[in-house]
Amino acid sequence: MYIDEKAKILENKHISGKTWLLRLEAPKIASTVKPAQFVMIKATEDFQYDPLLRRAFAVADVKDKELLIFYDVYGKGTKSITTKKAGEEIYILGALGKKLFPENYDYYLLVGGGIGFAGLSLFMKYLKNIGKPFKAIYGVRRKEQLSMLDWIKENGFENDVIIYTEDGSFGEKGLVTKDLKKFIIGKKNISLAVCGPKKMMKAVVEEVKDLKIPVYLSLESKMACGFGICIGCVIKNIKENTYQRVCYEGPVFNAEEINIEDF
Amino acid sequence: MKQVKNLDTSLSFELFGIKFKNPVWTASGCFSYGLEVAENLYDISKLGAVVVKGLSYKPRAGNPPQRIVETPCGMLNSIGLQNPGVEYFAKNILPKLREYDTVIIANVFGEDEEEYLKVAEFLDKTDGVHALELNVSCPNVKKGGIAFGSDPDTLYSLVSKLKQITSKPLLVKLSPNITNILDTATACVEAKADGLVLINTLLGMAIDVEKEEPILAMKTGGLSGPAILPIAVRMIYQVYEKYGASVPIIGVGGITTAEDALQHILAGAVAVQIGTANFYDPYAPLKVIEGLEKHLERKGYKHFLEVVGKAHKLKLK
Ligand SMILES: Cc1cc2nc3c(=O)[nH]c(=O)nc-3n(C[C@H](O)[C@H](O)[C@H](O)COP(=O)(O)OP(=O)(O)OC[C@H]3O[C@@H](n4cnc5c(N)ncnc54)[C@H](O)[C@@H]3O)c2cc1C
Ligand SMILES: Cc1cc2nc3c(=O)[nH]c(=O)nc-3n(C[C@H](O)[C@H](O)[C@H](O)COP(=O)(O)O)c2cc1C
Ligand code: FES
Repeated sequence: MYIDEKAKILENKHISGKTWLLRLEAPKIASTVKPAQFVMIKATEDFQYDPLLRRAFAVADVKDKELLIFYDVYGKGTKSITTKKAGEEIYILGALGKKLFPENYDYYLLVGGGIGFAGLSLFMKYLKNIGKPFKAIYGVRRKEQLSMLDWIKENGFENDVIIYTEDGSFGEKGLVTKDLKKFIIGKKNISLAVCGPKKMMKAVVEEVKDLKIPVYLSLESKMACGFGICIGCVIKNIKENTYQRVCYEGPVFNAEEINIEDF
Repeated sequence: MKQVKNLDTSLSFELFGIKFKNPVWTASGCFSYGLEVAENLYDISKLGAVVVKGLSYKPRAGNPPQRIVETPCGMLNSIGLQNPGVEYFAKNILPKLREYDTVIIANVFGEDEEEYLKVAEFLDKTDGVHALELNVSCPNVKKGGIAFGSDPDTLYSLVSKLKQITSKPLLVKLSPNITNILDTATACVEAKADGLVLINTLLGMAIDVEKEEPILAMKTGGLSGPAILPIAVRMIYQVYEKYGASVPIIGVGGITTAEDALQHILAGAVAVQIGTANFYDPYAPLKVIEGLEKHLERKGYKHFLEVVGKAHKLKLK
């Protein structure tokens, strides 16, 4: 079931750069959400039509009745979300997304770029809870963009996450692809779970191509509804030669199913 | 034209022999085939009718992405009528949809006259489809669609032929991308269409100022949402002014609330369709139903049909 829940804002604060953190009390959605799922947030009051459409955000963490979201500010929708204060209410539809990361592998390598790491954090927590071995790579350009660093520390993932900055201002210097193969070689029945900017996802897929291991990408696309009724958010499934809805047949796709140039 | 009759509740009525629980339907392309909502959100039996996504004879892949972009108080789409074809629909989707107690209306599309006729012929024999809505107004496909919807003679010829091959009620959905809506409306009435659906989307474009190129892959798209409400209301008003209650009008365009729906109804619509609002407010159709009931009660009306066309002060045929 999808729920359109009036969530209470517990915290809405600027972290650094263009990234904000939103903590919501949404007991109904919180009780159903699974890793890689997302919510559609209505940025406006009732009967305000600009911005018109809801915006999609990954659920980065769930604690009891609470959802945690990290969001980058670009345009009308996210700007108007920044104006919401703690105590105010906001409509969120969730938990959305039907095809999630498969659970049948023995080892997972998570690769997140920028805000895309928020699309993997809940999966990481889940893997830890069920005791599945994994490592996570978190890459950004500069230290200031490590918006989930505090969360990583607070939740005890320091030893599970390897951080890369392009300018070397924190952690390892370089791109997430730099040591990627090192983390893969020798691991049996491994799969990759990737979320981040197009360029980064493309580079990851290219880098591991010759290893022939399954790569799962959590995709984004422009969404009008987020729950399958507009057929607007499609990506071409090259195996079936059809356009599939990222919100309903995804958001997770096997890299083999899609043409990396398409998104 | 068959007359509209009152039934038992303030919103139920009968139109071309079909009983509708209420005059609130979902618009084609804005509700998929109904199952996503039925399975994940609410009981679609509460709706007056579900108008399914456009169906062609051959499956259509649709347009490449980016297919949608938000605009001030609206959005542009260029889905390109992606659909699995009418046979697949009848075999794999319709049986599930029929489990819900609502009226099912099929939106019919063809690239040429032959395809329109084939789809209609097929649906005429398909149990569970109550009526057909002819889409001659899609701005997002190269062939068919709007080519039929903008020329009154072509439209007259198509509707006449379709009327001969189907015994089911035939509604024609008109394009607003035309100078005078009465030209195409009149062609449909003369060709004996059972009702008119007003309006489809308006052709538009949005440009990315950084990339300096149109945002949609197909460059242009159809504008929908609150931004088009006054255009729909004006066109319904114009058609009702000419034909009055003799031609059933189904209003669509920019409806989010019961007040918006009432504007359509007061202008002359006997039923309304909710489109884009489903995207940002999934419960919008149910809220409109509830709002209409409340409005009628507050104003002391026994039935919504008393309000249809009431904004016209002039004497009507
Ligand atoms: C399934 C899913 C999960 C998502 N999860 C998250 C998340 O956890 N955190 C997060 O911050 N975002 C996430 N996004 C992206 C987020 O939905 C968009 O960034 C947001 O909708 C932008 O809205 P806006 O109002 O700021 O910009 P708009 O008004 O939509 O656009 C304004 C301008 O900014 C550009 N723009 C918009 N979004 C982006 C972007 N993401 N990157 C670069 N340019 C952009 C547009 O092209 C346009 O030119 C997710 C998207 C999807 C589909
Ligand atoms: C994403 C999308 C897809 C649509 N697909 C169809 C379609 O397949 N057939 C059709 O006749 N109209 C289609 N329409 C038009 C709507 O049914 C409706 O006429 C229009 O959107 C105006 O109503 P609204 O403002 O309530 O959305 C589509 C509209 C949208 C936004
Ligand atoms: S966003 Fe509407 S179908 Fe995916």
